[in-house]
Amino acid sequence: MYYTDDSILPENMAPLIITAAPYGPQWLPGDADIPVTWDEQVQAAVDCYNAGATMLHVHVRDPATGHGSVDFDQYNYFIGRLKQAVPKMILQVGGSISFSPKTAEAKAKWLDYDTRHMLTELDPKPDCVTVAVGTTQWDVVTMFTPDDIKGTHLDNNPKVQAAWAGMWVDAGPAFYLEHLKRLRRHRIQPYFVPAHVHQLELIERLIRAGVYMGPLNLAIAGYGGGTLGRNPFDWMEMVRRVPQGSVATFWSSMRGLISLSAMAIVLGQHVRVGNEDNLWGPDKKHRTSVQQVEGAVRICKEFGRQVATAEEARAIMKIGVWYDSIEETLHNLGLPPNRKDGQAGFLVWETEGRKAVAKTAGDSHPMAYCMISPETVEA
Amino acid sequence: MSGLVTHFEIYGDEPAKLAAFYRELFGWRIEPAAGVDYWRIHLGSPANGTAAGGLAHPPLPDARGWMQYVKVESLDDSLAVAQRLGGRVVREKTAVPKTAWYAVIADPQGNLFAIWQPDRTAFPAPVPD
Repeated sequence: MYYTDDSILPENMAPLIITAAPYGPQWLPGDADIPVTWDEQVQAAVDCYNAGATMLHVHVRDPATGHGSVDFDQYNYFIGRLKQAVPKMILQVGGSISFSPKTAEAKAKWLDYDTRHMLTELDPKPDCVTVAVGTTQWDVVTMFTPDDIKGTHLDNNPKVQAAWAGMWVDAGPAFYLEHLKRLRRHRIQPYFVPAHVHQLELIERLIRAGVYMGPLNLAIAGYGGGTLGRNPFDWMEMVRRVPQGSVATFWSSMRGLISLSAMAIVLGQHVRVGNEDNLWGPDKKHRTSVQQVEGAVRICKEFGRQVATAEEARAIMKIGVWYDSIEETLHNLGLPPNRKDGQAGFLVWETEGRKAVAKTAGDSHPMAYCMISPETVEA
Repeated sequence: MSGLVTHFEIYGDEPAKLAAFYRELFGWRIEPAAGVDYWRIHLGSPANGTAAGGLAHPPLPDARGWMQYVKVESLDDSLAVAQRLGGRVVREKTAVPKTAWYAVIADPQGNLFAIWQPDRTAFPAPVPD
């Protein structure tokens, strides 16, 4: 993104989109405010929405087993209930799920990644699904301090910690090329989750090749252990590298999320909070998902930036919008055009060739303006 | 009180069809639970019967028949005793969230039954996806 002098004034920023992630699939009810029954899971969405969140990161917990659901029908059921309870909220389904086929027919039909591609066939449809582009180690434990897991089931439990430390995200081209194709077919927008600049580069190549043609909504993933860490210079580099027309969210873990959310808010970026990512306030006391949403709203108001309404969030993210060509996509994202055969130099979009008249006041040196002969002024 | 049968389950590949069978046979009220593959069986009159069991897909590959659940004080202790007496654990200790722990045992003659320890804090350990 390119910042002009006035970009960091709150009145010029897009209203803040707060994503709530209140389903913490890695936690037990004793660890955090984890909803279990269907009613509790729906209420969590309602409470986050009422507190100011306009996008919901959806995981589904099977209330009969307590585990993360792998049941396609349960996803459909829960999304249906969410659409009734929070009809304006943007529903963003976590894309790490592999559905378990129930029948012998489904077992024979769903091959390899089909269990993941089934996300594209959810009915009712969510607005978007998170898509990882590039296989990544995702050791969530590596950035934890002892305080971060104090009193949770991970505390003094090296075996469980090792299991979470060994997590990785399988997202090679054999998965994402087909997945993006199916998402477009079913008109569900991908929500990208680049974990470093090289995954951002992969996404740009997909756009330049026409594999993906649509708005670019993404969460910059800083969970450590193979993803971005907490070095603010790395986050600034990601902000510098994301296309001008994209909508970026800062996504990190535990109390690091609080500092990074504040950064995101004053930089005109967006935030994701909730018990999936963080359990604490800056004072090391437990914070529920709703309290974390309220915290983001407070920082935003203190700074003078608006918090997005659901309608504004949908407009900012261009929910439901698709493009029909590579050029249209690049243009809307503020990316330079693709190089034509034999074209040399750095690429810009063609204009009608006229020079614009520069501002008459300023502390820069409008050389182009000086090249235009001033009109004669009669005495 | 321990040792009492708390409830029972009936298994089938097509629970909805099985529900129709038992409804007609016994006049039971059998209703699907929302959002899960489980049908609650209410015994007694169709209007007021209490939930006493359920219909579900087989939780084990060869589970057939009616599974009786017997209440115990300590699931861990009962599993140990059952094994000492020649029983075999068919399904390890499993949580019904915020309700109970259960396990399935085969007695020395191969008959399956389940033990059930009510526990409001019961919950399975999360696993990385």
